[in-house]
Amino acid sequence: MNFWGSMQKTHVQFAILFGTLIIYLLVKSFSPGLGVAIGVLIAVEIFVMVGLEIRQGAKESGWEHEVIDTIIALVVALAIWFSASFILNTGSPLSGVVSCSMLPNLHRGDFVVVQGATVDAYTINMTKEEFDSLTSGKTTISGLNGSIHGSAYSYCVYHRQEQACKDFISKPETVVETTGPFTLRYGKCQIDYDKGSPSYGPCLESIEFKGTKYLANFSNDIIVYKSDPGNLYSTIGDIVHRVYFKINVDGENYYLTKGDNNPILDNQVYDYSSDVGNAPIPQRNVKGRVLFRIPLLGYFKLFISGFYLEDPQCSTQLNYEHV
Amino acid sequence: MEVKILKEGKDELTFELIGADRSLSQLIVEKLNADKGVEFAACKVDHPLLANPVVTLRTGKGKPVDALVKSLKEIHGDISAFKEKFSELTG
Repeated sequence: MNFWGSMQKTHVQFAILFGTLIIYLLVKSFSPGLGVAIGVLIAVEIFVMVGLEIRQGAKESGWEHEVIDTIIALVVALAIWFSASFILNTGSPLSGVVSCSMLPNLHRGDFVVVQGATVDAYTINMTKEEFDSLTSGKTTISGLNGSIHGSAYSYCVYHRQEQACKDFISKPETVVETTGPFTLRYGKCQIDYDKGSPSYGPCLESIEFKGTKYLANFSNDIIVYKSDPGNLYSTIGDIVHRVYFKINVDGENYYLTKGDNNPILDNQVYDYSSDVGNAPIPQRNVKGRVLFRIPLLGYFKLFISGFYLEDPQCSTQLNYEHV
Repeated sequence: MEVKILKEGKDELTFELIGADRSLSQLIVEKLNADKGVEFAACKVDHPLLANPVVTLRTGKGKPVDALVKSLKEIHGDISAFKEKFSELTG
């Protein structure tokens, strides 16, 4: 077969691949089960495409030639990856968005290009003592006796029937949460659902530090980070969230992050059944800041990596305009 | 606590635990999944603070209600044993 013929065949394969992705997008909200099946199908299609390509090449110019061809292709791919790494100054220049915690600004299936550069966000200076009191993890909450790990929000996920939590859910603006040098306040956010009418629930409104109030800010940089072992988020791969605070502790940087579609900071999330939370992120765990996104292309990475099921957060969206 | 049955089939049961939170629903689901007679048990919560947990369980054979009662009895047994141990220790 001549060059043009095999090109056309490749076109057909890509058309099938993108066609299946369109079917996936149309079907996933009606039937999650079918969505998973189509996700698996897309992963299979990608492997079949590569397999066919190798077989076709072998048929035309012999196995030896094809082995060399495949090696060249791999070398080129690695060269692109490493030059992107070099240019963008990060070990992970490309990433796929798995969850819906950054809606509406990042979507599941987005492909993001990451750059290792100075992160632009609220920057605050803390002494070692202040930072230690923040990470020791004890939080006091108005209306609640004693101090706890996590936050009012996380606590109430497990204690919905307590009076303090009933008050928190109906009047979050009356609750004051103190962790180390921070005073955290809540507001009420509108929560929009794919189906049905919206509801209103607590969401972080501001953090006060040394007399200055910092409101939830959607122009801070979004970073990609890895969570250290021992943290709640350490088992879920790379996380793409927006920076709330960049904390300078004697010249070392730490980050507090929050998903735009999450009501609280990552380090306010606490799992009381396994007694695990999330610590501030040290600079060494930050892979870079998100430069831009390419919609949908990330799905191929998700499906090859085995992320088939859409998380339930994809059908809800937190509306911060109403705080 | 009020329990609302949303769907009851031959081998499937879905119910809403009104006013409950993750503590209780997680416990029930874990107990159900430890039961060999239960094929599948899971909890769905539309919103962790605003919505009630909805538990679904499916049995291979046998009535799902029986499996639920069995799990609840086991939970009750566990808690009673813990209570006894606790009061022994605290005197």
